[in-house]
Amino acid sequence: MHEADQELIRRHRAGDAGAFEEIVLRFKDRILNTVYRMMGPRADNEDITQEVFIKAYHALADFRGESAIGTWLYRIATNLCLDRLRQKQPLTSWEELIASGGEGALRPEDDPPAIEEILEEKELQEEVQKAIMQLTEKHRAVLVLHDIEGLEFEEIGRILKVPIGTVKSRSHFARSELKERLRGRI
Amino acid sequence: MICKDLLKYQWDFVEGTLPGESLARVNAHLDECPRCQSEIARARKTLSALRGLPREETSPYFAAKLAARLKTEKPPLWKVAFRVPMIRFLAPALGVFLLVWFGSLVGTQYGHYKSHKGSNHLAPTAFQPMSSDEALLSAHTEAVRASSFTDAALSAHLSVRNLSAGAGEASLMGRLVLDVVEDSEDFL
Repeated sequence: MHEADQELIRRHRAGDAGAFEEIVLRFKDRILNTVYRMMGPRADNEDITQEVFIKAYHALADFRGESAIGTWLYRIATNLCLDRLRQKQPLTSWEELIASGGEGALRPEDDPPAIEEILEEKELQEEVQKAIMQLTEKHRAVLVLHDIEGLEFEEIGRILKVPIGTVKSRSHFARSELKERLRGRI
Repeated sequence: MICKDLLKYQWDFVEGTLPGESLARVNAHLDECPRCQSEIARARKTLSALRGLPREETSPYFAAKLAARLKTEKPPLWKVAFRVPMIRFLAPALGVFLLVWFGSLVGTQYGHYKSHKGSNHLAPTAFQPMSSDEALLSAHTEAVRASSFTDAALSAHLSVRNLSAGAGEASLMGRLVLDVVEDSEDFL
């Protein structure tokens, strides 16, 4: 664990409220991004992100520091997303997403129609997110953590509690699957 | 190398992590296979599209909303309790104690159930000797005494004891019961 992490935990245990605030500020966007890519565009992604930090806050006193705080938060976030995905089928239809009016839902009328390039890029991003959502949860988790969040395979192995070989093979499969799903688009 | 092999190495190739010998073989194959060149180009674009996805950002109120939730949402009680080192240490002993206590409670209740089962019919318990009417009547008397019968009813049954010659045992549904004494009203 990094010294900075150790210092934050020491301060938190000493009752310094600012320590947890620093953790939140440092990781909130990364965790939200992971949640978004795992769950897809939904209205409650920010609530799920908050839940990650609430769990972390209550567990921080028992955190033994075997991994970096970031790795630990990614683990909480990934597990929470996987739990949610198992409990409830995510919205898969883009029409449903638009109808739900959720955060990040498609709103083509918001884009200036004159700027074709931007529109095209946005469409591609939506296609990519759609393809990500079609992956199985375990493949999606590896793809999001490695290719989007930039975590090393070893770290992902610790987060998902699987051997590094399994992480590499899931990554290979997920990328190949994504490439096939985007055939004709890129 | 055949095209199928190239697909196995495509991601390591585009990431530049392919070891020397394999890299040379892939490069040699790509020089002569336009189809695989196109596969590699698509792999590059896929990774680029993936990494080019916009980053999501939390709303400006995120921290304030989180602080409010932290004030209202408390951790589960068991989690709080387990933070106390002594409780953590004593928990296994407490668990064993509760298990033994519960076991003895169930055992006692079962014993009572067995001894009182059918006591309304004044049936003998499994623990009573069955050798004679006298022994059976003693068992009935004890069963009645242990139950919540009134003193008057108890007296009546004690009187039955004295009339043992007239009050025999009969079987009802495989259970021994006291014969109905026709003039029982006399006792009550």
